[in-house]
Amino acid sequence: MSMPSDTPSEVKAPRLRLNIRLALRLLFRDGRSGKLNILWVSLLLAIATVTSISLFTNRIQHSLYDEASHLLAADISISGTLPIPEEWRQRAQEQPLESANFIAFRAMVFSEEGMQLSQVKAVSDTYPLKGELSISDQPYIASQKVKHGPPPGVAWVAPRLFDALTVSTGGNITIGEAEFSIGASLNKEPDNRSGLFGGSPRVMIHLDDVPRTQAVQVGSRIDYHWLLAADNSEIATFSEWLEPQLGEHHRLTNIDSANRSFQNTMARARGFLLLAGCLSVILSAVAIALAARRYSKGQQTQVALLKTLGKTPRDITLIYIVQLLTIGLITLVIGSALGWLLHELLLRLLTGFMPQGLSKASLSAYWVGGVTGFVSLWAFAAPPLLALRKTSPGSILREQSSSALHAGWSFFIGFMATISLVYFYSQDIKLTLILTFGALACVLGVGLISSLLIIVINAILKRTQTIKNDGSLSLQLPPQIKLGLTNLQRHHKFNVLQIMNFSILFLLLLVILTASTRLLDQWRDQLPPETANHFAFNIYPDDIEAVSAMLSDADVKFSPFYPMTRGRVSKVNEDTLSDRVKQHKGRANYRRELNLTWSNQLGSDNKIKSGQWWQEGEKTEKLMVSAEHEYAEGLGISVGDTLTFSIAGQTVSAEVASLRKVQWDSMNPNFYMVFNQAPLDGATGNWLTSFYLAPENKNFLNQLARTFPTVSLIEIDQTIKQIQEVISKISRAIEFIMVLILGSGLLVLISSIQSTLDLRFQESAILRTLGASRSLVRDSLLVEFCTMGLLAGLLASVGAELSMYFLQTNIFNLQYVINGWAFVYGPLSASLLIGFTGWMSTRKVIHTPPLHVLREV
Amino acid sequence: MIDGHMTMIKTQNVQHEVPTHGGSLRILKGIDLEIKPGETVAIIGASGSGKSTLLGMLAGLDVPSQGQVFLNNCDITALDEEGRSRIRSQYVAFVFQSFQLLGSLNAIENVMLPLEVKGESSAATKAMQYLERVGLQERAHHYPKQLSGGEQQRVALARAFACEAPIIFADEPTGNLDTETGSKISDLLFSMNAESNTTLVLVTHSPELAKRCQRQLEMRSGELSEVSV
Ligand SMILES: Nc1ncnc2c1ncn2[C@@H]1O[C@H](COP(=O)(O)OP(=O)(O)OP(=O)(O)O)[C@@H](O)[C@H]1O
Ligand SMILES: [Mg+2]
Repeated sequence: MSMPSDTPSEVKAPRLRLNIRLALRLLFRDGRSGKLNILWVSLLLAIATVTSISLFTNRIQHSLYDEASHLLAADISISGTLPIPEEWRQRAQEQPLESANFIAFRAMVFSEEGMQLSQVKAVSDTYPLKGELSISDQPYIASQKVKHGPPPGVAWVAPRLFDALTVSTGGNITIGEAEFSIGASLNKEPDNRSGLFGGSPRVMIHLDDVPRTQAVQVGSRIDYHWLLAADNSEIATFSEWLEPQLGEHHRLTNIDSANRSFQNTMARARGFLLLAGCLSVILSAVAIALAARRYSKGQQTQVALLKTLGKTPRDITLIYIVQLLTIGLITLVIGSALGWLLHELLLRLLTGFMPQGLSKASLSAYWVGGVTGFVSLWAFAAPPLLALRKTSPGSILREQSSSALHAGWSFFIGFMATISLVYFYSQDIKLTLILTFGALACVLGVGLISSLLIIVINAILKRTQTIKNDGSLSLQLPPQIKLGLTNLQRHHKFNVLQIMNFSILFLLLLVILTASTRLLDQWRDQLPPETANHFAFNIYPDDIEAVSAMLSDADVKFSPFYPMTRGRVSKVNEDTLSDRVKQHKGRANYRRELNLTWSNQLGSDNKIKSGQWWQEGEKTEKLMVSAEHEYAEGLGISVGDTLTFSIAGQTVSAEVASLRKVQWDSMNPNFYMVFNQAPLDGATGNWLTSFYLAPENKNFLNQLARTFPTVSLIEIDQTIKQIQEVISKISRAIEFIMVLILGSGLLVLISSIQSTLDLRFQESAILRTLGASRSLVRDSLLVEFCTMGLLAGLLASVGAELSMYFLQTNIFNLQYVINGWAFVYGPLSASLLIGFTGWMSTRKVIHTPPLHVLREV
Repeated sequence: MIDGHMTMIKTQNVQHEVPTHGGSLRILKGIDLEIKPGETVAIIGASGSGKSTLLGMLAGLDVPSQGQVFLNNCDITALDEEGRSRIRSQYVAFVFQSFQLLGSLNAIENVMLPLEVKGESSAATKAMQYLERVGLQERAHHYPKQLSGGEQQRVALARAFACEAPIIFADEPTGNLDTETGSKISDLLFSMNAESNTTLVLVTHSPELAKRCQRQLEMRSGELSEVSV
């Protein structure tokens, strides 16, 4: 017989091909035998859920952004008291940006029967750039949506005007010198939110009709608005160019600054969607790690055998790299496709709740799932599989301690991978840190505590023995409980790992569950159904009583009355405002006039961040002020500083007593500055209040406006409705996603329970051959599993409450309220779930002859 | 070419110790051994005396704590795992005492494995031939779980044949077989030896099988001695 010669150069090329072919063949066979199933399933699940969630949230986010841009009817708007300079227009045209214009002014509107001071909005053909106008033939009936304003010669008027002027559609009104026919009732404008037009109802006409009215003359106050739309980068370039030249007469508003409360809502919605996505990323990573560990364990014999057949460690590495790549690619393709389908399905399920014509997802959203799967595969599955190269062929003769990667290292790799994935997904350092360090703390804490708990159980078992030896107080445990607990303690190391596994999975599930219930509820509660949706201000002190009487008579809920005056901050300590703005690079517009008030009572939605609120009756001579904290931070103001205000041409100074956090989206009257007393002697100010009007009671506004012509009214009911809609859409979407994650989390949990069963099957089967009764075997398994579940559930509940605390306070700006029941139902449900799954699976051991079980293990 | 004067397997003072709870356990206590190409050697001895351990050392599946093992004059104890793998692929076929068939592969696939590892193109046909030789062509597509212990052992033998290696190590190749099948299997082993001058080293408790070998070595608590036939 001739000996094979070993000429490396000759052997090399075919060897590579050989190994690849072998790798694929082995993979195929493992796949067929079902060994790979758990890994397949968890990878597919991971890729599919993350893909679907990221597609889904991405599209919703885009739509939210769109919706927000509707609030502005554009992406940015430039407004001012002077016409827009020609130079700016040219620049916008070159870029190019879509644009629209309107001007707003007050004018008296006449009909045959009456007259009414109105806010006229004259719009160009292209208005609105984003969003729609709602109009109807008659006031107070269902609207129809249009994407343009009235044609020349036609006016669309607010529903209230029909009453006030006793006119109907088709009738005529006069504005200044021009006559218009009434084309429709104007029920909703996308950008109707601010207090620009006080109590006056809206009349919308075409921009070209303005000269005809002759209502606009030198000296009359006009607001010029210039709306622009384009994609984000174009807008950003333009804003950057424009901002330095805005000057005093013009103001730039973008979507984020357009409406603070809406922006808050959107930020929170984004936060929820991100959290949901991150949780699904982490869950997927855990699932893949578990599956991979189990799979690589099963590969040891095969590797040892391949080695006795002459495969070198390098061959083994190559084989597993090929396998991993193959698995990765196949799951990537199938998983992404599944994810896409799933997200379509989600959208279908939510039609009606979702905005129509959802925007497209950005390309990156398609990647997230694949990247998660691929990275998890390499971070969790590759280390143990590639470590197989070190398996000694001798291990086939006698089980040897596995040569697998050092636990610390694989943990480190996995941990880093999870952090990177969460960051990659969220692009949010804070959320990433909270989630990962929360998880890390849990892993370590849980490991420590579960070891301790098992030691305690150990002690209990010893106690029962010693007492028995004494012969005196024999505390006898029933045999099945004793056997169960003994098992728990006998597999000590294994069980600590298992409990860690369970509790981390359970923790994720609990966080998901609590987030989707508690957080969303709180969120919804912020704008309860009867949130104030109208403001009345410019109320003279003498009228307060009459106004409140009228409100109460009409059964209208209203907030307390606040005095209000307007003023600017001119100095902080000795620095002028401009110096401060430069130093602190605050982004908000600090030069603008602020609403100021004075009160002894801290608003229920205000929270003191630093300093102290003045006590009632603590009427000092000194003028004190409490500032909104974000505004204060932007100017580097802290407690104890002196602020100088210019109010109605006079200058007053006040010491900063406290900084307040204000919940802007509560829709209550809120102020940047609250004084402890009227800042100007003798200034009584004008007062304001907010109240809730149901849509069908809108007519009350007319009565109010007629009775108190000087009172200005702001309608924010549309904004509130929009916010409430967003909240309900998003929370519904999130609930769906949470159910999805919850489902896959449960699957992972169950599969991880089952992975622990192999060992127990073997033991139970042997116990059975040794004559243990079925019930003994079953009950002791139940005791063991339920105890594990109880411990895991307890640890998970503690971890989940901690995570919720950080999430609620740090990410969502919601209040944390501890829920004591969580510590009862957490452990209980974990115990039931794990006990039940264990019990279901052990029926196999109990009802089949032990020999079969032994053969199968 | 293998020189008739050369030794195929040689050991020098092979000792093996494993750490146990209380100190260490000496399993092999200085084994010196020479086996020529084409020789048939039986290792006998009481259970637990270290036969399997020695066989594993000879095949390069494990390294002794002391001493050297030469396969075809190559000191495999001096090689790294990579090098030993290469030697194994050239010289060694192994029949395990506990079969070690892969559960996810059916019988014929288990037999194909060594052929595939070598990149043989006609792996399936050849594997079938080897299965026929052990009389299991009917069960080719059954999985190890579905086979009896003796059948699994025969598949393991077929897999070793399929290695087409110059040395076959067999750890109790007939341990689970009835006399008739057992002698058929040993016939096979010896015919391999006759046809292609395969060196055969087997561990057995069966005196008949041991007698058919040219040499018998007895293992007594880690020490090896020649039994004069
Ligand atoms: N890695 C190890 N750890 C502990 N003990 C070992 C190890 N390897 C071998 N032994 C012990 O060495 C002794 C020899 O084992 P070996 O398997 O070689 O016996 P054997 O002669 O093949 O027995 P049998 O005929 O029963 O197969 C046994 O007592 C075994 O328990
Ligand atoms: Mg043995």
